[in-house]
Amino acid sequence: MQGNIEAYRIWAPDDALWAQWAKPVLFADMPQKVNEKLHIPSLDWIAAADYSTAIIVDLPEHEGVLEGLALARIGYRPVPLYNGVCGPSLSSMIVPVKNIVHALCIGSDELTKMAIRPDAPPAFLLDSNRMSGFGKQAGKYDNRWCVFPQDMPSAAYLMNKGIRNVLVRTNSSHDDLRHILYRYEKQGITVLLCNGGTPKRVEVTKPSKFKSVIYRFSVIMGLTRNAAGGFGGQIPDATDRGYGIG
Amino acid sequence: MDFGMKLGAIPEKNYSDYRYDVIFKAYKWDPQVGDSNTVAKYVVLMNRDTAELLGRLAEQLSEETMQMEEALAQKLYLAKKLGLPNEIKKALTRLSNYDRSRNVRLMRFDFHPTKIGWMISEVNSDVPGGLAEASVLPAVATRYFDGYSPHKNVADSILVAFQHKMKPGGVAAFVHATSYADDRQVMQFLGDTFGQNGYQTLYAAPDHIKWIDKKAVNTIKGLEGNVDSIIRFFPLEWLANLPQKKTWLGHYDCDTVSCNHPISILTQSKRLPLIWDELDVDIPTWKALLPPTVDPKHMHRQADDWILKPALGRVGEGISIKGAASENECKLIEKAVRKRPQNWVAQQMFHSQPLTTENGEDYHLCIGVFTVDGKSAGFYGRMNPYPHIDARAKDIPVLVLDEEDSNHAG
Repeated sequence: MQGNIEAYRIWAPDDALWAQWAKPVLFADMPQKVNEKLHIPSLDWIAAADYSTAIIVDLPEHEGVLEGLALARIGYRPVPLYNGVCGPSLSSMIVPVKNIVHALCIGSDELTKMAIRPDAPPAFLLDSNRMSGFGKQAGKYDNRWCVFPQDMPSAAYLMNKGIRNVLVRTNSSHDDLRHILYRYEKQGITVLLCNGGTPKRVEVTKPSKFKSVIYRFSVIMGLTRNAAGGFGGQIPDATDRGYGIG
Repeated sequence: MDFGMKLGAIPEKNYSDYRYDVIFKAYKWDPQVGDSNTVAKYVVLMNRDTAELLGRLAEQLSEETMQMEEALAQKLYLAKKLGLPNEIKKALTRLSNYDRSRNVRLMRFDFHPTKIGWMISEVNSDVPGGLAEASVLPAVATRYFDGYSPHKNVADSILVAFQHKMKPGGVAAFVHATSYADDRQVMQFLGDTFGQNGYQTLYAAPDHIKWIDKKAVNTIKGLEGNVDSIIRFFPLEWLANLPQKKTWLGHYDCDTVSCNHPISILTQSKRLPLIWDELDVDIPTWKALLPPTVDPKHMHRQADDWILKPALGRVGEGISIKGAASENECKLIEKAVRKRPQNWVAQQMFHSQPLTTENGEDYHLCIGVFTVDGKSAGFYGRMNPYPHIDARAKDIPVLVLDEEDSNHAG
């Protein structure tokens, strides 16, 4: 049984090219591990790792972890980007994260059995429920979250490492991810979408507020945040989301 | 100029272990921002005289700051010039009975080594971050540097301050933007410190707190009840943007021990220097250490050695530093200043003096010095290869030379 540092080390080993982006939040308070096996799905939409393609798995709850482990089996490096916190009680949280924590915890055992190359291409894992639910419910702990450009490698970094395509494995789409994909596409990376079938190339539509003064300043002043107290911008709201990769 | 400090490298073979320890023991949940690793491979090794000098200056600044905000609370017509949101300006009349002895006052002064000596860029007066970085990071790093030790612990100082003002075993509410893991890491760290010392901890969003008879009450489902103290990591100006903004008016004149009390917004504004001569408060330390600061309307537009800062900006963002900010960013900022000059300030740029590593790399440094109720409480170090400390800056622990080793100072 591993503690939180050990589990995180397995998901984010220091010699792995993309591991430095792994988010530690859900590893910070890992439960005691139970003797349980995960059902790792077989993947119909991909057969082998393609070193020129990064994958973003954006699936609900722990499904992303399971597909991430399936991708690890064929040579990808799963990189958890889950950045939502646990609330004071299970019933008070808007976005349930318990199953993700559980899958990461048990999944670390699975991952240790796999020999993933240090330069394996990345499969970034997101929870597509991250902005689900109603934001301001009385007495509820709002642990919804967004993914921002600074949570992922830049297009320049990806291309420098030989990545030419980004494949999004999802059944939904969110405006926060579209901001990232639009930047990638503008800088020459091909974006592909896969909802479980054959991946298809898509053109990312320009997200709302992209490079507008509001968005620009919200990123510069508010949403590039760190522990130094990075405040000043807008609070993300569930109503401020859009759909439409493609 | 010798600032009595140098950069020491974490041994390469230990850096990986160190980074994992920093993430989990020092609550560093944002170790990567974009393509930048924010955990430095260096530490600041500071001699004792420098540590004592910075601590002394921060204590003087803290006292002057508290005197200014108390004076401002009695001269609210001056607060109109601070660039505060209207909702806050309307609420300021509730500050008239503020009593510093019934609250805990936390600040962080950001010191920079410059060509002409130490200078400060700002005080983080409302919700200063970097608490775990100042408290735990040095303890994690100290094992690699014989003869150097962590210097004070801001979390312990905050705890002790509350122990004097809050009942044992009481409920401490840590109020933050719950959607942000980066903010939760700060609250979790302090909450764990309080929890280990017998307090009940509550992680809450602003809208979980109601004010009844001037006391804070928690409304989280299943955990409802009284709150004995508020530790806020949610900027006051954000409270004014919440859907039920009037709910938080109660915070301005509450009896619940607060850190920080809303009075802190008066000195959080970067426009404070524009009115401080009208306060009848003696502030020699502030005047000696802060670069000349003027209303942007009085700044020559083409002046290269002046920078523009938002009145309520944080983490060094939204600042037009030529050479550090892109041309486009500078243009955007200048446009915003032209539109609303009352929300900005112009400040003469200082010239940061970098420290050079043994490998010949230059790093610009910012030492944030915390004060708690006027007493210095620890150092938060950040560094960048360019002369601007922003969100991509690396966190660097500050270690201070042990007294018996003071003859080894570099």
